[in-house]
Amino acid sequence: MPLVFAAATNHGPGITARRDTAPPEEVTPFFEGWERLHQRMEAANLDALVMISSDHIQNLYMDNMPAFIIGLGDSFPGPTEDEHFLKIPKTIIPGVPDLAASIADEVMETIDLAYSGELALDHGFMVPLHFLTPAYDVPVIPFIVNCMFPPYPKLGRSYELGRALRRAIDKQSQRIGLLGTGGLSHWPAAPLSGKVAVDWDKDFLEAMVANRREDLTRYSDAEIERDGGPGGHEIRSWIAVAGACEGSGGKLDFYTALPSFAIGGAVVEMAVA
Amino acid sequence: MYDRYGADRAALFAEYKLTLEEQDYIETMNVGALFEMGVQPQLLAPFAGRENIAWPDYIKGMETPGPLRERES
Repeated sequence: MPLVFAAATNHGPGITARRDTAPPEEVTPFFEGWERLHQRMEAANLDALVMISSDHIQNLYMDNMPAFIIGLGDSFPGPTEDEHFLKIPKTIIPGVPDLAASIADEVMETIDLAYSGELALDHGFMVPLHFLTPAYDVPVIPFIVNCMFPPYPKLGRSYELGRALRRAIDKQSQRIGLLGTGGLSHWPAAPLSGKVAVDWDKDFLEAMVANRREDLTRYSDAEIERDGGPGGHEIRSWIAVAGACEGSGGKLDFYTALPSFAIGGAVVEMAVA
Repeated sequence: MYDRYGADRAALFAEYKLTLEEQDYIETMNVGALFEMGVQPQLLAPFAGRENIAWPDYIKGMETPGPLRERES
């Protein structure tokens, strides 16, 4: 069955860690947008959700840093972060190893993947799941893109990962959704934490909605670092979703600057027809 | 790692060949200085959380110039 749902959004840990202390007028539009996304994902009646995120030094470090890695486990513990920090209780997210292996096999026709049977999920996965599949009843197939340490995978390779994922997902019989998480501009845990580059975010989102590959992939790593911050490298997750929906555009549900969560927040849902 | 940090800090410092300056910045949680020396902030932030440093205090510490930024200014 072809891909039935595709979207991209954020995953900053402040979304849960600092929700209680953030000004409601700043963050309410974000949570209302995520509730709409939750409802649309529920309506899609997913059998599995392929998620693309970065890893935040929880599974991977500089001793062994793959560009792309898929989790083939039958379950994934998460969140890796301290419960008192992230304010998400530790749990086990179900996997679907046979489907994950089938997807990995097809993706590897064009993209060389690393794989692991023992990934744990950090806030990059758990923060969105906490709101979007709150019963944790949709099995997850996690993909991690290196957005943490250079050399990073090229933006064009993230787009190609998305194209390969689409080819692989369309070959399956299950109802599968795709969710990329990360970004947009942010300077995570750094001296500029809380800065949001609104113009940079909107420029990227405009290219995302139009799914213009040449614009989505035009940034150099130095430009991302300078204009979108170290967390801006996570646009790779969004670009992969765009790649999976090549030839189709998307719809921006909302964009809002969230200094309290130290991110530019948005949801883009892509057409999957 | 964090358990070892709590149980035998000196052995851990020795294993990683930390200088006395580096050890001091860790023990005093001088996050601004540690950041300047190249510690990834997404490692620093959860470490600070475990050391019971509140987020506003962590950010304030990151914004406070340590010795490298002071030398450059």
